[in-house]
Amino acid sequence: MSVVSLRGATRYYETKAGIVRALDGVTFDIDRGDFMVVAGPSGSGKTTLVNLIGALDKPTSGVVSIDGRSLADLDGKALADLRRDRIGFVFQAYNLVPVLTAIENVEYVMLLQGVPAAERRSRAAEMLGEVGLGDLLDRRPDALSGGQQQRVAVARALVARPALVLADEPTANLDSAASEALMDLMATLNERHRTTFVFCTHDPALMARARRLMRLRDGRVESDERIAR
Amino acid sequence: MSDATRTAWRLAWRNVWRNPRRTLITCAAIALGMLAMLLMQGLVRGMGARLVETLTDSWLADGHIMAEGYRAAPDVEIRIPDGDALLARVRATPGVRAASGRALGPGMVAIGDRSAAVQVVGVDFEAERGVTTWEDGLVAGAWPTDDRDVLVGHDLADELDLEVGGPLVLTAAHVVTGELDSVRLRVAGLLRVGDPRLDRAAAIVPLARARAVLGLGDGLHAVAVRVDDPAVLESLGGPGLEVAPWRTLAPVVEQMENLQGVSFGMMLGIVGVILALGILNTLTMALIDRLPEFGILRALGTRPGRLVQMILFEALHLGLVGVALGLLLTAPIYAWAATSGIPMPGVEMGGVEFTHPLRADLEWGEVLGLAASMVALTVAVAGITAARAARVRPVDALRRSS
Ligand SMILES: Nc1ncnc2c1ncn2[C@@H]1O[C@H](COP(=O)(O)OP(=O)(O)O)[C@@H](O)[C@H]1O
Ligand SMILES: [Mg+2]
Repeated sequence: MSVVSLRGATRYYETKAGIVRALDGVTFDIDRGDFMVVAGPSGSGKTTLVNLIGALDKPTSGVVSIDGRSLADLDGKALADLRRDRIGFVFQAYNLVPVLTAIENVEYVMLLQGVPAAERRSRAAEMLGEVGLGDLLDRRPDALSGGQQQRVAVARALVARPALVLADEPTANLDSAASEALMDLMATLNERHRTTFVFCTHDPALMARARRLMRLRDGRVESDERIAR
Repeated sequence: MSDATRTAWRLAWRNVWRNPRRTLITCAAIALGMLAMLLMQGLVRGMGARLVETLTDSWLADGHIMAEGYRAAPDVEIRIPDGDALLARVRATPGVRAASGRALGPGMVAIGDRSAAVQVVGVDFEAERGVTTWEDGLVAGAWPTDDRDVLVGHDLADELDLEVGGPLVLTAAHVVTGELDSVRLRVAGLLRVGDPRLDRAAAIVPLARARAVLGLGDGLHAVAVRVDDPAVLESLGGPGLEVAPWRTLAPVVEQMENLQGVSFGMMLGIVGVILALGILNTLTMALIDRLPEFGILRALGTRPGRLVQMILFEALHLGLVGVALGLLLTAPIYAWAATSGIPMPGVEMGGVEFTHPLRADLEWGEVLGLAASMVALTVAVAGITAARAARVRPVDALRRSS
């Protein structure tokens, strides 16, 4: 069974200027283990799509289901629990809670899940070790570089063993070396844990890393191809 | 307390200190509001206490026993006929600490060609010591010992140019015959107790002297008593007698208290509203700054209720810090206002002059009550902000950040 399925998923925004068709009848599945890049120019609907896949938003029409459950049937609390248990997020910026240390940020989702403190601590430390930050557990975000902050965010997204990790332009604020390193990290984690990754970008260097590349234009799927590597 | 609640608590505390300047401004507002309200309350209470003290110590004692009708219309003819017997009975009653009989009537004092109308106050000077604090109010001269001695108020002495040791002629009318009688007395001392009825318009003479000039026999107009417990007063009555506690004798106290209650309530309301608006403003500013962060927390699966809890915890910390600051600020100022007091020369309230500095007076209950209401106010105001934060959709909160 696919992790996420979209059937004619549509998201319109009502604005003063009229209706914006941000996503216009999109149909596809995301399978377990996918390492998928959603590409497209700015305004093509990438963020809107990720918000739907991440149970942060509901479609105006069409169906979006995660783990076979349609978002339309879930209330705010159930959506929050679904995100907590099944989805990891890496955002473009301001990813981390500023007053929490690196390890506390990573522990946060497990805390919400009710994982016992000792287990939380050791899993978070181990995960931070995996993303190469084993020495910086107790640093606050403002004492970390942009690349390090995004690694903490990746660690946080992965530590609760979600079905799916979503990353909306995770490298937008990083230089190319840090971007490359972050993509290497995610590719490695994808292979090691078979975690499903979906990320949005309009950076061609990152598209080149995709094993599945979907192009969006004006809220529609322009192409969707699997690339053997 | 669950792990998540504990973390929300810790997170809230750290968030409070994330913007120390903003936090300190808010806390300073809370602290200054507390200082203003506590000092105001303390001084208002001190003023009331001072008024009561002056009235009771200078004249009323804990209460009076009078002939029925005298309180409503004090007439020299309405008197307790066998005053000495009543006095003996009162003094023998358990719980009565002291009692002093007084004979009162209109009179006139004169020296040379200067004269003034006065109330003749006949007292047993020994007994009066246990009931009033006149002796402390002696500004010149000595406590009367001779049956020709008279005490007068310092204002009256100024008016008539009286001197300690000098002569004074007292004239009064006999109750029964209406005949005027004059006696030549010696000014033993000058009194200043803060009550103008005594300071300005009384000639205090030995009881026997007053009874003689007024023709009262062993009659009395009032027996002033000091008791251990106000309840004792009630047992002192009898046929033809009225027992009135000091509160009844000085209705001005109650009026003053009501007025103070209203004005203090209004001030509390105004300060409260100003504070609430200030707190709301800072909290809302902080909220807008942190919207992306709330978006992240929500995206990670934090339920709205948990977010509300976190913000309320934050307000609780803020309120507690503010209140602690307020107490630290208030303590020394209050200590000064309560011990040294604020001199208030010439200030009068309810017809009573402040002869002593005004001392602030607070009760622990009030301080704690105010502190608790400040914290509650902060948390309540934060509730508005928290409810708004919880309603924000994570998508919208996040979109603003990128
Ligand atoms: N909350 C919103 N209200 C109105 N219009 C929106 C909103 N979010 C996105 N849009 C519009 O929808 C379109 C797609 O936006 P988005 O999904 O953010 O694209 P991308 O992430 O590819 O840049 C854009 O035209 C954008 O202006
Ligand atoms: Mg976008």
